[in-house]
Amino acid sequence: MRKAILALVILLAVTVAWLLPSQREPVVETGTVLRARINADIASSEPGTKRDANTDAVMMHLVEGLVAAREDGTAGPMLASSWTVSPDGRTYRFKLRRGVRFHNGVPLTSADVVWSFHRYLAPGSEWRCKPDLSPGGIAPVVSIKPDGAYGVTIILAHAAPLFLTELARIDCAGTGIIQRQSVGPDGRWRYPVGTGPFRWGSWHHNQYIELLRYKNYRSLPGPPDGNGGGKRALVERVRFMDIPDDAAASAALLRGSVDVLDGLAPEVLANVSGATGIKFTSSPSLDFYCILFQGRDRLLADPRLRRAIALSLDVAALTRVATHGTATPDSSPVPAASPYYGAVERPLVRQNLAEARALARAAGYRGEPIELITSHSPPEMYDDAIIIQAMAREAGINLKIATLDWASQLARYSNGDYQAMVFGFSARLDPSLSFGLLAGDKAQDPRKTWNSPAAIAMLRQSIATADPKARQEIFDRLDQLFRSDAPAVILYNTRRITAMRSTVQGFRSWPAETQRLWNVSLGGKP
Amino acid sequence: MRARIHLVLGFGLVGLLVSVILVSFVWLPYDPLAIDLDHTLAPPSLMHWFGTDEFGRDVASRAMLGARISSFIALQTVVITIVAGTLFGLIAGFLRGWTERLVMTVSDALLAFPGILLALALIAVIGQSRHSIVIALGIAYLPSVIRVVRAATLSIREREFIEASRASGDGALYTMWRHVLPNVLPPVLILATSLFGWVVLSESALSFLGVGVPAPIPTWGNMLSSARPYMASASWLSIAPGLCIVATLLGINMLGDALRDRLDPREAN
Amino acid sequence: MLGYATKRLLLAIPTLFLVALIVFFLVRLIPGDPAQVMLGEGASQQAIAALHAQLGLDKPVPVQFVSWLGRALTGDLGTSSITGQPVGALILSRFQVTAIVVLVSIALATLIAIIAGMIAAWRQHSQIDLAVLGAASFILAIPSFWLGLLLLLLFGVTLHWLPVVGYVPFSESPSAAILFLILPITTLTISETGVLTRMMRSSAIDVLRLDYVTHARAKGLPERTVLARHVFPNAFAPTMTLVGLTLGRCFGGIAVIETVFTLPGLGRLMVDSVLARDYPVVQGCLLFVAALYVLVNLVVDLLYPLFDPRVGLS
Repeated sequence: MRKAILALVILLAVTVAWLLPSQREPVVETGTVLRARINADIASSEPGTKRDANTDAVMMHLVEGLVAAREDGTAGPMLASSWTVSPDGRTYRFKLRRGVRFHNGVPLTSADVVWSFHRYLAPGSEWRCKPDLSPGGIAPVVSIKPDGAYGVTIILAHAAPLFLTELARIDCAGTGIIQRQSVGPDGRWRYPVGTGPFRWGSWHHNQYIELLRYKNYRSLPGPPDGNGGGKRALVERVRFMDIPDDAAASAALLRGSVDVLDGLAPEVLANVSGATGIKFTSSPSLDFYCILFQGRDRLLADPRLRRAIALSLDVAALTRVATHGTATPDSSPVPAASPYYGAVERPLVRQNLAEARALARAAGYRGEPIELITSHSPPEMYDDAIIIQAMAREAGINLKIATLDWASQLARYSNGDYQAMVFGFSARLDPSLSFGLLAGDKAQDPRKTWNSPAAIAMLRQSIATADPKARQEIFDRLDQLFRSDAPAVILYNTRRITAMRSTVQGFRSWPAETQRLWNVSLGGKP
Repeated sequence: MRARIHLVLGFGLVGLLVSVILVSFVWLPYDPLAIDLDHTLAPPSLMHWFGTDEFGRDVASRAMLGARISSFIALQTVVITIVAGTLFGLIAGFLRGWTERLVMTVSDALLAFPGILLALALIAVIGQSRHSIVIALGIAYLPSVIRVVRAATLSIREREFIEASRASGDGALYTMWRHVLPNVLPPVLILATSLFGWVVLSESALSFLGVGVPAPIPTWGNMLSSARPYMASASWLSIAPGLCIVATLLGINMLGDALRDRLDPREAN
Repeated sequence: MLGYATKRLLLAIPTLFLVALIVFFLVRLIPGDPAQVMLGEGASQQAIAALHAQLGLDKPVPVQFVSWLGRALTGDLGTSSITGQPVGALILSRFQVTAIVVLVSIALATLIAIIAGMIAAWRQHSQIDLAVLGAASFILAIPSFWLGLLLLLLFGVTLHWLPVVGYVPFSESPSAAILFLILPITTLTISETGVLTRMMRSSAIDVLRLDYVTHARAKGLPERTVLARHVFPNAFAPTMTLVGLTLGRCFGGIAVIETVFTLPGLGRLMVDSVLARDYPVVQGCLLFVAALYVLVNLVVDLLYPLFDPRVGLS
C-alpha cells in the first residue's frame, strides 16, 4: 500500500513540476488574427443547407451570389454587374463581372453560375430557398442558361418582384456561386470554394473555424453596402471561436481572448459595459419575438381570449426588463427598423386589464390553465414567459409555463402542437416575409398560425406588387387585420449589440444580424 | 465533549431550516411569484432583506419558498434511494453468490448511465415537474447507494461477532437485521447526508442545463443558476441561495456526523 | 484472479447490450426531430423528409437498432448526423480532454482526502478534526458551476493569471495545454474532495477502534506504521468504492465544468448531442461511457481484496 501512495505522490510531484515553469508562457500566433465568437459550432460548410445563424454569418465571408443584400435589405449587384428584366417580368438577363476569380484561381464564368444553380435546385438538394424557386414557390424557375461566357439568363414561370430579394437571402447563403472543386471527385462535399474576400482555412470542430484572407479578391468599387459594395480582408486570418456560454464569452472579451463579441446577450451586458478597452456598436434587427397562439385549440379559437391576453400585457415594460433595455417594443409584424413601419404600424397595444378581463369573460373563459411554451435559448425568451404569465395572471388568465429545450420546442412549433408559445423569428428583409411567417394555410403548413383567407390574399398581393406606395397600403391593411384577429401577439424587435476591443476598427452591425468581418482591422489604440 | 459542537451546530442549522420551512407555510414577506418591473435588481434593503431579482421578485421570499421545495425534493429522493439501496446492498453483500451477481448486474447497468444525462433524458421524456426530478435523480443515485452498502456489508460480515451469531444458529435475516445493519448504519448515514447534498446540487446542475423545476417555482438551484449572468453586477442574487445551500448542507452533514458518533455501537464513552 | 476478471468481463456483455438497447430507444422517445433541428425553423417538409432518408431515420426503429448494433460490433459507430465526423474518432478526441481533467482531479482529491481524513480520524474530536470536517462539509456544498465561474472571474479576468477560454491539445503543446486545464482541474478537485474526506475520516474512525489496532499499538509498533500498515488499508476500502463511483459520476457530470471553461470534452459532447438530437453520437458516447464504467468497477472490485484481505473474490 505504501507503493500506491508513493506512486500517487510521484504523479503529483510530476504534475506540479510541469505546472510551475509554464505559468508565464504565452501562446504565440503568426499573422494578424481577428477573433470573433459564435455561440455554437457551425452546422455545415455547405452553403444554405444545414444552417443556423452562425453558419450563415461564416458563409457570407466565403461565397457571393449574383446579387447581395444591401444595407436596407434590397438586392444590389454582386457577381452580376447589371441585369435587365423583361416587360412581362419573367426573364432576367444578368451580366457577370469580369476578372473575378474563385479561391482556387479559376476565373468566374457563366458555366459556374449555371452549375451552382443546378446544384442548388437539384432533386436531392437541401438548399433552403429551393421550395421558393420551385413550382408553387414565390419565384419558380423554369430555366437557367448561359448567355456567352459572361451572361446568364433565368426565366421564371411568372413575374416575381421578390425574385432578386430571394436570391440575396442570407439564410440561403445569398445563392453563393461555388466552383466545381468544392465537391470531390466522388461527389461528396469538400469545402466551399467561392469568390468572397476570405477563403476556407480549417474547421476544428467545436473549437473554431478559421478563414484566411483571399489575396486576389476583386472588390466592387465604392463603400461597403450590406453584403456587397466594396469589401476587403484587412486581417490575415479570421477565427470564429465556438463559445456557447455567454458568461464565458464576456469573460473572454474582457480578458482579451476574443476581439469581437457579436450578438452580446443582453443579460451579460452589465458585465461588460463600462469596462476599459471595450467599445460597443448596435443596430436594430428586422426580427420579432411574439406569442404564437394555436387557433385550433378549444380555448384559443376565440379571438376575444387571444385579444384579452394581448391587452393584459404592458409590452413596453416587458421589453425593457426582459431584454435589459436593448430591444424595441413593437405590436406589428412589420419590424420597427423596416422602411414600411409607418403610422399604422407604430401604435403599441396598451395594457388594459379591465378590458382584458371583460373580453376573457365574454369568450367564456373560466380560468382553465393554458400552456405557454418557452425555452432557455435565448434566455430572454424565458424571461418573456415569466413576465407574460405574471401579467396575464392579473387579468385572470391562468398561463402555465412549460420550458422545453430548443429541439422539443421546434418540434412542437412545426407540428402546431401547442396552445401558446413564446417564439422568436430571425431577421426577414421584407415585411412580406415577416407576415409570411404567420399567415398561411394551416392544413398545408401547421406552422402558420394565421389561417385567414383575406390575409393570405393580401400577402400574395404584396409579393406580386412592386410599387412601394401600393405595398405600404397593403401592409397597413394587413396590420389592421392582424390586430383584430390577434393570431399572435408581437412583443418586440431585438437590437443586435456587438462589444469589441477598442483595437478593432471598422466593424459595423446591421439589421440583418450577421457579423461582417471584412473591412475590419486590428490595431487602433488599445 | 467537543463532539457536541457537531451536534449543536448540526441541530441548530437544521432546526433553522425546518423552522423557515414551517413559517413559509403560513407567512412569506412577499408573494414569491409577484413581479414588480419598476424595482428590478434592487440591492438588499429594509424593504427587501435580500434585494429583488431581475423581475422585481423578493429574493428572501423566494429563498424561503425555495427552502421548502428544494428540501422536499431532496428528502423524497434520499428516502426512496436510501431505503431501496440499503435493502438491495445488504442482500447483495451478505448473501453473496447469485443474489449478489443479479443485484450488481442490474445496478451496474443503471450505473453505466452518467447520472446527469439519464436525468436529462428521463425528464425530456416524462416532462418537467418536481416528480420527474425525484424519479430521475432517484434512479440515477440508487446504484451508488447499493454499491456502498454492499461494500460496507462485505467488510462487516467477516467480523467475529457475525460469525459467532451464525455459528449459534441465528438465521440470515435475523443476523442481517440485528448485527449487520447497525454496523452498516454509520456509512449509510454519511451517505444519506452526502446524498441530500448531491441531490440539491444535481437539481442545481439540471437547472443550469435548462431542465430543472419548472418556472416560476423557485428552488435554490434554479435561483443560483439564473443568478449567473448577474454574479458581478447583482451579487446578492447568488449569495442568498448559495448561502442557503451551504448552510443547509453543512447542518445536515454535521448532524449526520454527530448522529453517527452516537449510533456507533462501539463508541467508547 | 484472471478467471474472475474474465468472468466479470463476460458478464458485462449482457449489461452493455441492455445499456445499448435502453439508450437507443430512450433517446428516440425524447420529442424533437434531428432533421428539423439541423435544417432550422424555415425548412420545407420535402427537405426534412429527404434528410430523414439520408440519416436512415425513415426505417422502423428496431431495424435501425439492429443495423446500428451490427456496425458497432465491428467498431463502426457511424457518423455524426450533424457534422458527418466519424463518431469513434470524435469520442476519443473528446475523451482525451475529459480524461485528463477527471483523472488528475480525482487523483488529487483522493490524495488530499486520504491525508486529511486520516489525520482527522486519528485526532478525532480535536480542533484539527473539527477544522477538517468543517472545511470538507463546506466545500462539498458549493455547486461546481458556481465555483468554476468564481475562479474564472478571479484568476482569469481580475488577476489575468490564467486564460479564460480555449484549449490546446497535449500533442500540440503540453505546457500550453496545462495552462488551460489548471482552472477546470482545480474546480473539480475542490468539488470532489469534501465527500471523499468525510468518507475516509468515517471509515478510519471505525478501524481505529478495532482490536487489532489496539494489539498493534500494544506490540510497540510506531504509530506511523500502525496508521500506514493497519489502519489505512482497511479504512480505504469503502472510500475506494466511492472513488470509483465518483470517477464514473464525473465523466457525465463534468459537462457543467466543460461548459463554463469552454473545453471540448466528452461531457459537453453528450449533453450537446442529446440537445441536438444527434442520435449516432449520443448512442456512441453512452456505449463508450458504459464500457468505461464496467472497466472501472471491475478494477475497483479486483483491488478490493488487496486492501481488505479477508474479503475474497466471489
